[in-house]
Amino acid sequence: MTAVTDAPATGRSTPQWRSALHYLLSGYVYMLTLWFWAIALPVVAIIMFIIGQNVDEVTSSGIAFTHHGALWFPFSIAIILSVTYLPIHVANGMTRRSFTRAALAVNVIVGLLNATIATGALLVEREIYHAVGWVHGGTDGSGIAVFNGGVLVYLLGLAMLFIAGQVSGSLIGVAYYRLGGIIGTVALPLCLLPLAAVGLLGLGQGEQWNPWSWTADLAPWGTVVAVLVVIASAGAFHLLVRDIAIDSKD
Amino acid sequence: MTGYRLHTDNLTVSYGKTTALTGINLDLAPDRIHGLLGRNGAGKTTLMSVLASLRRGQGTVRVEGQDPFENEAIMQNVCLIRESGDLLLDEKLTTNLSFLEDARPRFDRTYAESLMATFRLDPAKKPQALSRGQASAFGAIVGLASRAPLTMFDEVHLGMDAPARQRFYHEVLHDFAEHPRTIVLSSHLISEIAHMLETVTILHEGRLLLSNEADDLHVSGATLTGAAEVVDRHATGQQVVGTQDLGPTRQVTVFGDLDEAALAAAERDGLTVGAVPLQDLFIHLTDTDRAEEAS
Repeated sequence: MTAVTDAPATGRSTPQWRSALHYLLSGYVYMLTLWFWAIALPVVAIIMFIIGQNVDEVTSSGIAFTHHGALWFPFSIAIILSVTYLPIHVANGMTRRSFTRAALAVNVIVGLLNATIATGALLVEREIYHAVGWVHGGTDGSGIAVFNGGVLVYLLGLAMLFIAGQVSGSLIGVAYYRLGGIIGTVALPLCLLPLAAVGLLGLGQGEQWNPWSWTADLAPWGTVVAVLVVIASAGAFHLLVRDIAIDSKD
Repeated sequence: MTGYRLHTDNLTVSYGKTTALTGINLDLAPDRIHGLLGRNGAGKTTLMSVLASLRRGQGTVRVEGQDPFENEAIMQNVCLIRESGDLLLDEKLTTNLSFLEDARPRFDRTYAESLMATFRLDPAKKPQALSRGQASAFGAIVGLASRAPLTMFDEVHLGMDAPARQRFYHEVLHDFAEHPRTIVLSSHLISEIAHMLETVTILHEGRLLLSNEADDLHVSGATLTGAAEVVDRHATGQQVVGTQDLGPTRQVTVFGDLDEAALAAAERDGLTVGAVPLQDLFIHLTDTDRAEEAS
């Protein structure tokens, strides 16, 4: 025989999207983000130390190479969240609308968090480079300083890129879940538009890091278009999720 | 606590070119235990999925008078347990309880933990590390402890062994008595759950076959038990839907409006007359092969 207790209060004090956001941030993202940096930063430090022992002058930032990880790792997690968490969320009585809000909020918060940590690490690294007489240049080998356009501009560019990457990941996940393997694959270029728009247009040549070492120099219109594409993609994500059917478990 | 009233009007659900439900008109009263029966592919899971807002259909669906789809106030109080539940597979059971506490406004964690002790589930384990029976038990616990005004169990006890199933049935009845709500039970183990059901709804090939009070169904036929030759004599001319033999004793289930005089005569001849078992009735009503042979 088990104990029977009184039912708890029936009212909900926390909106569903905030409950989901709390779970996603605490259970998934903080943990994964902190693990990523806890691994990446010591690895970069060790590699730079070894390189420093073998060359006279280093001309590229080591930390800047971690931007790939900070971009593609959350991108992958965003895909997984759409595919695996969405059905659990809805099947446990929460609306699709609350999932959309929580997922997009996670994209923004994690993007900002990663961009801030990366920029902070770059600032520390710059001081070390200056102290040992190295050149704190970007990863493209051009010798242009990482913070050529200013620290805040660099931070903004990274944040936009990391957020766009996660929006692309969210779109890919939900496109495969809703549309299936074939159409999901066909839709990949569309899903990658936010990432491509920020990476290729973004803040302009020499102002931000980008994953393809080339950025169109169309400022400020490139930036405007990139931001609009990310916002439109978030809207597309909402439209794909809003009446999605949750798979049966048969 | 009050359970939710359910209503569907001309509900049709299709998966591509396949129609899973056709024109379902159904009313289920609140604060009762309803049985939802049907053979594999009859549309039971689809119907419950629509009620739980997992998918949309054509037609009208009302839960407590409201469209449940994307209705936060309704959805959070509708709990469908599909097999072992929809859980965070890579999180511990205790983390899953915390997640459910946030998701379900009436979730009773203390009750859930006491049930976990009863079913001997380790809170530190992850769902993917549970045996099938343990996973089913945890799904049942989630459904019970959610205390949702509409709680639906879809074959939740499939993996449980007989003692665990009995414990589950006991808990359903016990908790229902303490906290009345609308419960829908779907199962192929009809004889095990028949005593719990207040109403019975049978789906067959996507259509509503019947939705009646369980008591009315039990008197829609009779069982005659006794010496085989005496039973056969009294069953002649009746619609026999089931026969069981044990040595010289035979039990037949007859279906239809039975003549009171004929039943009284059977009792005078030493036969035991009983209510029709739900399972026999279900088999009779959904036996497509027999119906085709008869036609």
